[in-house]
Amino acid sequence: MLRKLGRKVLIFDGGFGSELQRLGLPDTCPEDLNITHPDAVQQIHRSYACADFITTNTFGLNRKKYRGNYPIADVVRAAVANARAAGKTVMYDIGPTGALMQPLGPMSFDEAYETYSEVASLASDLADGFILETFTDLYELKAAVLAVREHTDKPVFATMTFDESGRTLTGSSPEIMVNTLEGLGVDALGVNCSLGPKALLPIVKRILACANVPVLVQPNRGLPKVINGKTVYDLPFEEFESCTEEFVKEGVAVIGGCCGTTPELIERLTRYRGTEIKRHTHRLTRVNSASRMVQISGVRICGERLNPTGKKALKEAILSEQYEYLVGEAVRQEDAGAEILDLNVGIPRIDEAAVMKKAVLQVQEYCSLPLQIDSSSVQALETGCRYYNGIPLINSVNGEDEVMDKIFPIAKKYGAVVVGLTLDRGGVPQTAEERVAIAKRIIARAKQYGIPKNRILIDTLTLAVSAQQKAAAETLKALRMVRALGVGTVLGVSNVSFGLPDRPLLNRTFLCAAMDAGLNMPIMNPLDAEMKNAVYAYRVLSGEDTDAKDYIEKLQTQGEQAPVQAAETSVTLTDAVIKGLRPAVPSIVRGELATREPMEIVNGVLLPALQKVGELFEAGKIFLPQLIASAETVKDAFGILSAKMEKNGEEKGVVVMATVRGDVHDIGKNICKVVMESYGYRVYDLGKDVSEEEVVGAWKKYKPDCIGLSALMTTTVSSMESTINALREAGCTTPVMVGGAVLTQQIADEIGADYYSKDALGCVSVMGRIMEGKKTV
Amino acid sequence: MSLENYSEEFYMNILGYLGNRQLAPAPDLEKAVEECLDEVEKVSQFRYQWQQFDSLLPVLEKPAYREFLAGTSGYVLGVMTLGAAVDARSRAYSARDLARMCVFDAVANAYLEYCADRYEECFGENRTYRFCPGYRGTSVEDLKELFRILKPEKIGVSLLDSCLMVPAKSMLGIVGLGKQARKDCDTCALGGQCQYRREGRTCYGN
Repeated sequence: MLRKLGRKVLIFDGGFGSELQRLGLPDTCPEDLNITHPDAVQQIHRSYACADFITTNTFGLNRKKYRGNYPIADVVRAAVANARAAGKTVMYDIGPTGALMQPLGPMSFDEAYETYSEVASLASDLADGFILETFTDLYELKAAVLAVREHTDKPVFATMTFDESGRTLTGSSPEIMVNTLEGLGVDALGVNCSLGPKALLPIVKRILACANVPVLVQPNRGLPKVINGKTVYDLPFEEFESCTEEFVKEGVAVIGGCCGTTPELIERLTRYRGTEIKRHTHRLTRVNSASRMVQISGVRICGERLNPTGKKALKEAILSEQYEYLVGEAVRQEDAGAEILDLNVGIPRIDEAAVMKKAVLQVQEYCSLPLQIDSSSVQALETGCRYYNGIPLINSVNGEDEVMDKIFPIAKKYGAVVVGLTLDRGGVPQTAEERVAIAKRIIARAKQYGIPKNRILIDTLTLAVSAQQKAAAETLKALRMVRALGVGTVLGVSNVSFGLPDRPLLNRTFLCAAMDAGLNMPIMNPLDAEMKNAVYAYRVLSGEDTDAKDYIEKLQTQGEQAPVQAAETSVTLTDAVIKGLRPAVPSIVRGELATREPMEIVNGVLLPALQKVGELFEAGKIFLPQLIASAETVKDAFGILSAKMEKNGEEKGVVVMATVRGDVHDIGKNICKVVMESYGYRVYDLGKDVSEEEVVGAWKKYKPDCIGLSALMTTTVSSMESTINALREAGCTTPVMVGGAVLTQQIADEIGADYYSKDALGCVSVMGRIMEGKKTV
Repeated sequence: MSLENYSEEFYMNILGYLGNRQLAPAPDLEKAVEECLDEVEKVSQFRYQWQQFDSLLPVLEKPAYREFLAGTSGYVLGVMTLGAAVDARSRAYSARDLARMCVFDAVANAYLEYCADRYEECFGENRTYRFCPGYRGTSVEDLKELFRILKPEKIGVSLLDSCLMVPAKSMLGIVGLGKQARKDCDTCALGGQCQYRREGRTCYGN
């Protein structure tokens, strides 16, 4: 049957729950019926024998969700045996865990992977294939696909649900789903459940417009109605059928039904079986995060700043695992106009794969841009691709067989787009022709691994013109020739200007020449406005930016921002703090530094201004966001001043902060953190849902003056107590400060905390007392 | 929709979440509220999943629920959410502009209440306000059983062991049918000891 997949229309079975209802069986734990009522389950499967594919009754059978009475292995065996009764191709059904993935919920990627691995390994020898269905989170589905792929070679189908707005519940579009699932190598993909067939049609069309693998559609029988507490689906069969006809016309390869569909309805759909499928092939170079897709055609800006080479502060942040700095650099580039971000954490003697994992998880939590995983470590590349929620770029392979043989399998497995450098063991060839020869080798080798041209970008290598003046012309010539091979191109633009004055000018000029020669993805600094604007301007000239719409909008926004910043330079630093004017800070602080010492500015201006804001807030004269904006303004000013200050004495004290285990709300903690930082404390933020062990570990590592714990709910106060107990058992005598919506001084006393703070300003006063106490000791 | 299309109460709720209802916000804060509202409307995927019941579920066999539902002909148990994209946007702000995140969060809170109130109009005029487990005399622990019954995974809401709902902008509520009832301070967990009352107001309008 699977041999016909994609050529002729095939039929899937329909709803299971409604059939259980019809037989009067309990639906509290449908999976257990495989063992307790095998006859009934087999009867339902047989009633769907008109279909080509039968789905096992195992939707909720995973260790996170299953609450039945039998070992999972026993249920898997019984379920597949029951499905065999229909005598058709048996697809083992895997549904979502129901737990939400980090950072939204508590489930880690590894936990999801382990959960699905368990059932995939149990079913791998029994079923004919797998259907992963009704997923709402692409990241969870990625974990499931990898788990199945790594335990079996049998076919994998995957479907997600979408709402009326055409997005999954976690905000992915149909195009993003297609790119990700195709990249992960599923055999068929599509949409199920969600909506009725009519409402699904626009979503299905979008899927067909970009998918190359067979598309599967299993709609609900219309939208559910609740009558007397029972869910009822009553869309007329005729309407379902006419929509199905439309699906088939559009090119859908497998049709079936979800909630509310019945054997009678599926029987009627069998008249479409065997219809020839007409589809187009799509060869686009696309990378994506969970919420953003970037097609690499025309010119796309790749931000270069997440790379520690030559960046001391970033290097230090990576070594001390302060990912906040990395995230800051990421969002600055995103806000400045980067469309893809290069991520490189390579520093000698670190566990690069482990750091890459954390960096990917952190950056993707706050930044929606697709990432380019950049490393010379194969392990770090694989780890980055694995934990990335989407389809990344890999930077890079080169013309050496050994390198390609290690990296292409990773690119193939995770669907990544690979950057190929036109160099090999012999170094960078002098001539364009030699570089193009390497590019051809890379493309041919990739093909052997099943990686098509549209998943390759070629870097013809920028060399410093100060050292080899003729090299720039060769690089550009090679670009033109590579584009003629039908692949996209990359250049790290800024390398061109090493060793010469006014580097931005050279970079910009080279960028323009390279774009004209066919450069698709400059890796550059998006914070350099002139360089970025050169890209926008080029897009107008090349015709990519129709009617110069994007150009006009971007230049207009920049024009609006500039006068505001200029006007703000006339305000004083005190005003800037009180009004929270962050953009004005750099110029004002630099002005102040001309006449005063940094510490004088801190003690004479910043802290009194902040004090005043605090008083206004306490008196109910300003709102919380205004207090926060002031604190952030002071923090920005501190950032500039601390670079000028001697290393000793500027830090008032060290605080470790965490939202405790089981609690994922961290707004309050973040506010406390920024306010304490604005007062000059160094805060190590462990994040949310932090285990007792992690807090103890951070106490040992950072030796703080205070540990701040936050909890929002009565139910998580117990985690707070166990964290304090764990600290004390480990021998920690550091004061613990607690806070959060439900806490009171009384609860703080009961759980053994040393201090209670009702808000962010309270934290500052507690810290003042702690540090004062230290001085007097 | 611009702020002026919403009720005065909606705006007051936002200001309440921002820590003050008596103060007229500065123009830039008002602008931030407007912009965040625009964004919340765009990124929200409001969903409301419910079931109707005629008799008291065992988990609701508590004086507080019984009292709340006395005189009703039945009730609706519903889970409602603005969806995961709102949480994602809020996180994105937390790395950029904490003050903006704070406004965004307050607007999202008020918007969820607004959407839920609007949706509940489909249950007819003869209905009570939305009673949420955790109100006076009830426990958030009750959510565990109620989630087991409603299974709101399909609308993307799940409950952590700590009884927190994720996405963060989600609620579970009970609406009594066949009688009208408004919120009052006697049934509230805070029993009238709240910021609203200190300001001489109530959270349910005066």
